[in-house]
Amino acid sequence: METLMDQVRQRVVPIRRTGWTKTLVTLGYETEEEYLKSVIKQVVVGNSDGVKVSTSIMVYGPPGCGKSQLVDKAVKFHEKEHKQALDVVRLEGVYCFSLQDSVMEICNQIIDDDGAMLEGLGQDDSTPFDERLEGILYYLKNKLIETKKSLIIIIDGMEKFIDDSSQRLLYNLFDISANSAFSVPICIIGITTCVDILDSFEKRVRSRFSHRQINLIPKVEFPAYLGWATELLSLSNKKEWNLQVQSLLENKEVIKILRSLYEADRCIGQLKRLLYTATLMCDDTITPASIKDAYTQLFGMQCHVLMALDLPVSELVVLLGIFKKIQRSQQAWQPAEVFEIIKKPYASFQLRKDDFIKTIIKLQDMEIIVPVGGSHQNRCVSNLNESYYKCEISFVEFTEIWKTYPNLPSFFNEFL
Amino acid sequence: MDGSSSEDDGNTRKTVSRITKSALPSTPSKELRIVVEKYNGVTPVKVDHIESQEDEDEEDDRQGTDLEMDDESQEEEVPVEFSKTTASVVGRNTQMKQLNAVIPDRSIPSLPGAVFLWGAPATGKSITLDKVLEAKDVHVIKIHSSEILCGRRAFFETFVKQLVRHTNLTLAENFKCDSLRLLYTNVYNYLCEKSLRVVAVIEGAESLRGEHDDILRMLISLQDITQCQICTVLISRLPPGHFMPNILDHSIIPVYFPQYTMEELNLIIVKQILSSGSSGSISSGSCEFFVTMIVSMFYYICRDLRKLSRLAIGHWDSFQKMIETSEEVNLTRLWKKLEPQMKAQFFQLNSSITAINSGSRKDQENANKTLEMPTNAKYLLIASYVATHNPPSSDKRFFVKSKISKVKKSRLAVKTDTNTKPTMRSFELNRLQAIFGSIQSYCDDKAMNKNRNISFMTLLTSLCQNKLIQHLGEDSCGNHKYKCLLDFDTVLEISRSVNFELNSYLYRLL
Repeated sequence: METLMDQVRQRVVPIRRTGWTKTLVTLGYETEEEYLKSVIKQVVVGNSDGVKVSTSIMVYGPPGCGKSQLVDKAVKFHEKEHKQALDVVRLEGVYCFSLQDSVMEICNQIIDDDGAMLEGLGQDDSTPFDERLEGILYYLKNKLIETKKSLIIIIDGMEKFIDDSSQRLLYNLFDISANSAFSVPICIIGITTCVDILDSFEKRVRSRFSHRQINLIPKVEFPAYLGWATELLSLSNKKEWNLQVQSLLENKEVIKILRSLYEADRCIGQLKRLLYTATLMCDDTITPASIKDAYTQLFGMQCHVLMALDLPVSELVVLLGIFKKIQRSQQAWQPAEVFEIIKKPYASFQLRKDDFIKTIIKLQDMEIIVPVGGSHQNRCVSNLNESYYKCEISFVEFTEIWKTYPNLPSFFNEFL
Repeated sequence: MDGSSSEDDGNTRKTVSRITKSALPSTPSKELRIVVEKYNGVTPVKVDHIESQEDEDEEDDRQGTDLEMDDESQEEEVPVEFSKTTASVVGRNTQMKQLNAVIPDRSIPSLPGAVFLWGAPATGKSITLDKVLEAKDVHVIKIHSSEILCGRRAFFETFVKQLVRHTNLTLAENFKCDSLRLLYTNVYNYLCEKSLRVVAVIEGAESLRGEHDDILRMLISLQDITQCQICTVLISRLPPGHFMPNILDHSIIPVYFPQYTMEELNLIIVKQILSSGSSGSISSGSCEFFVTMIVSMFYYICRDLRKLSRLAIGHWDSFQKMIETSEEVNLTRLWKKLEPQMKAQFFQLNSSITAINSGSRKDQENANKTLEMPTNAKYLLIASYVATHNPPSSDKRFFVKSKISKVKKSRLAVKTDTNTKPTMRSFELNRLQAIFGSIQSYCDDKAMNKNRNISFMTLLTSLCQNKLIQHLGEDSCGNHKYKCLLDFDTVLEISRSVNFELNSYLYRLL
């Protein structure tokens, strides 16, 4: 049974490249898209003289702004028209950041039907990869010439390719494309979130990308942003639902939340994430409260406060001691000093110093307190007392904890 | 003792539950579960924690046999998992609802890329997820991040093997998966061929951070790069902000599990006791009373379900016996009788969790160990402590006349500054030697002991090896620097045993 809410969730689920088949929202990147298409066209169809030219282009943008979608759209557009004339290879920064991995991945994607040949070249581990590399590249070259197709290489997560071995891959690819003896036009499309990526590349690679760049910045005004939200939540041919959505997005609270999200991050990815989380909390209608909850859950969570509220009172006393300690001086402190401060209330729980040390270890495991100065390397029986710590909780959060902890014992007030 | 009975009950219940589970064809996930041990094998403290539970649990070291995936290795006996057999998860309704929505039925293609469950240990993260997954038509890959200790290759191969077991495919003879790329290729191939819907659960995900960031990144974006129906669920005790400030992924959905409230703890433990079937003729009312008393007694000190439930289950039998044998009708009075014993056991339980540096018995042992040292080693330790905690400029005051029996406080008291923070300094070898010499001569004179030929360096090296003194390396002039790692109490103990008045030789106590 597919409920209404399920349909909505399908529209807002925050996965990448949902735009592969159909676009839900127009992001306003038409100019960029046309430009990218024209660049790819030079490789696939040819420039004004009908000659296919190798080229490369870099696409920048903050995470979740639609980079991959843009590239995919442009590539899909050409793939539809010139199916026979091009091959698309997609390299992902998350898993193929070494030269070996990327070369093997390219081979895999180009020659998927020719498994036997590949096995002879690549899967044999007896010889080191560097020796086999030449053979593989030669083979790859021949294969490309044979197919007489243009090659589009999409490198997603380009920032992972900046180390030496990955740059060798790029050299080799440029070699293949630049050599006029073989006519293999290659278009390398780099996608990255890192705007100064070109500085990390060597000169030779840098010069290839320096002339063609697309910088995607969501240039959306707030009304249009609200329009995105409406569009994402609305369902075609469900009038009643759409009216509900309309009234939801006219709610002042909701507008306020969306406004603050808009000021922080204008990308569509973040908006989708918010709406999706909101849909998880309700069954049939989205209420303003659920949007608010979702916003808290995603962005407004004071993690330290929540973690502290989970602690039993005896451990909260230790936190109190730490608080008093850092209130006096902001320097790193030793557990023994904290123990001196809270000795009396701690004894009222019938707990001893051992239990105190245990709590310190627990807090350290929760990463609420962090050892400083490399003292944690020598963690052993005797030096836990002597190592220095710093606290990760800020004063604002401490105040919040004392305010919200239920049934705080009375001696806390004396201390505070 | 009491643990054995509850353990047997646990086992029988587990078998029953497994039979019912395997009878359902739609939930093959349980059969392929890899051992999930609730522990992080990284810190020594946690290892102790496991050992302390071993008398109750049959948890043995299964890390090595994980790849075999025997049926026997599926049992989980960590106390928190007891409630696995109960129908619903107490106090986790919101989370359950959210997770149910996150993982929809097969017909609806809206599986998010990554979900992040977080909360304190023993707050029902795994069990809630298991409950949700049981009812859904998805394949489950479950892997604990500590398996990375067997190596990356083993981790990847286990991942793929679990995936393949769900299908009828078999792995090639020379199957090998030692890089992220091969992991991707394998996962992609199987997902495409079978159009599977997969949920990959990574428990204890926080230990994958740091060195294995790339694996985490890959797992989180697995759906993005394969464009298949796969969802990664990370289970962690750290909040998302701590967990990965540098992996801020835009598709990850956090779900928070707060600590149980007192009422919820009561409910869960009562359920556990009743479902273990040992309640006999005693009414459930008295059981509730018993549990409520335990929880309310220790709630201020401990909120860990594991400890509380173990305590309750361990003492339930004796409480039952008391009800049966004694004439007393008032439960409160009966409770009073049991209370001291219970408290003692609780503190023992509490201490045994981190046996390191704790437990009165341990401390004594530790003290004895240091007291059994040769006298010269004691002198050296005292000297190093003094050298570490006194500024070098004060040495003259304390030690310039080595036979001083009275420190001239009157002269020094002028300069005392009570607010100065005790600082630790490293010291050089010759300074240590000088202080050592004066302490030795002072104490030996007292004890009429004239034996002074010792090999200073041998002693120092052995103390360094025992981590009582730390060698900090050389400075630019080639002087070796050292630091004392002992705390004040221990050194005081040592100095007492050789009749050395440590307190009058510490600058900060002047």
